[in-house]
Amino acid sequence: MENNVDILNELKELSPIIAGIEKKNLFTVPAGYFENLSEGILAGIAIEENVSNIFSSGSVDNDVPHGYFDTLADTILDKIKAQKIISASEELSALSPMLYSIQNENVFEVPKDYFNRVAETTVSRVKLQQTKVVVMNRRSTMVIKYAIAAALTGVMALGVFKFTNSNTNGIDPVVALGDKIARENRFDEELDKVTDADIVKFLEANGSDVKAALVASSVDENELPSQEDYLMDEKALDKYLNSINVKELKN
Amino acid sequence: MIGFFIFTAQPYMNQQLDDKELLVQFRDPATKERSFTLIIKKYQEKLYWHIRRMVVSHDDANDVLQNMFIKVWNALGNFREDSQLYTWLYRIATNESLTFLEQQKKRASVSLSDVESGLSNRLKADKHFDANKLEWKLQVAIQQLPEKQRVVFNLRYYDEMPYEKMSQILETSEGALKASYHHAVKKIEDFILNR
Repeated sequence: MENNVDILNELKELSPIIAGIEKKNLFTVPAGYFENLSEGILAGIAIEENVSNIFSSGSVDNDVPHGYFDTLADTILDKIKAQKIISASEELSALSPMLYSIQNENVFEVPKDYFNRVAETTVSRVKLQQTKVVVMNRRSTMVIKYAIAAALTGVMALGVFKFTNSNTNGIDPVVALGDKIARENRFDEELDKVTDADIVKFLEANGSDVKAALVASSVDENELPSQEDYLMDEKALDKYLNSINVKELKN
Repeated sequence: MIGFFIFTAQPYMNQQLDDKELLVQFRDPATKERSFTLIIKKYQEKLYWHIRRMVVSHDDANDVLQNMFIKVWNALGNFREDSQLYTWLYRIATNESLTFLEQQKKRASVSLSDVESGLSNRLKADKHFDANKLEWKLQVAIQQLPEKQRVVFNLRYYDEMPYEKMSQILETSEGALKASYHHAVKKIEDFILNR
């Protein structure tokens, strides 16, 4: 085992400079520190043990009243029921009187009669979405009917051509019906029987945009807003559509 | 009140009371507190200075020392005596000091080197500090060492502890401790000569 001389010689060999420095303790200690240290440590230990004993169940003399645990649940429930229920308003008043004083001030504005109209407006919009009914005015209906009539005429002509040039006896039923209507001069009468729903079905079956067809049939080019109108008023199109009674196109 | 005293290397084997007897008394509830007081009085100065050289401040050293002895109180009953009581106490004191320094670093959110330079600044703040005196330069140089290397140097230089005992305290090989001490000495010498 090394001794002090060995350790000193080692240091001299490593660093004569450090070995030559006098070993002084430069730190100071308060007077009487070591005399009182053990008492302070034991006092600290006693405090820690007292604290831990409060929560332990083994070494502490637990003096619990007789029947305490039998009635504990009822006692707790009674206390809960007896608790004063504090309203949100009372709570706010206690937490912040300043906030409580301004809680009822509403800084937002609502259009007049808004709440009276909300239910009605909402129900209307719901119905519109459910039925998908396209509202058309009489003029647009007639224009589309004549457009369809022109298409049917073309079909009938094609059908007649096919019939006369066909070497077979098979005739397309639709073409046959069209031919019959034409011979009996019942074109206008049959055209009046075409309903709006039939027109919508026809347009959709042929890949046409129903809404575009509506607008096109309703539009008089001379009445369209000018370019300047659009620049001055972003609602120019909405106003124009209102005027031609095609309300659903705005949605 | 300022008190300077010349630090002399007390042989660590100089025991006023036998450690084995103290442990027996500690395990007896009737004599537990008395024996513990005797243990404190026997080792308090050695352990205090070991801690103080690490943390520099007296208040910090006092905190670490008291925490250390509270842990000893709680654990001494289960001490298996695989090592000497002295070695075991030194190990706890070292670990408590290193833990304290680590906590200081985390609290301040600074690197350990900043903590070490902070310790140097505390030395310099001492009213007796004299940068021209070699012993103060030595102290400042020691505080620049990495913490574990500082422990090795202090145990060897101040406590004149053999590498064998140091190995038991720090649970590091003797070869590693020797290398660490040699590096520490060179660093300190370089610091003293070049600053």
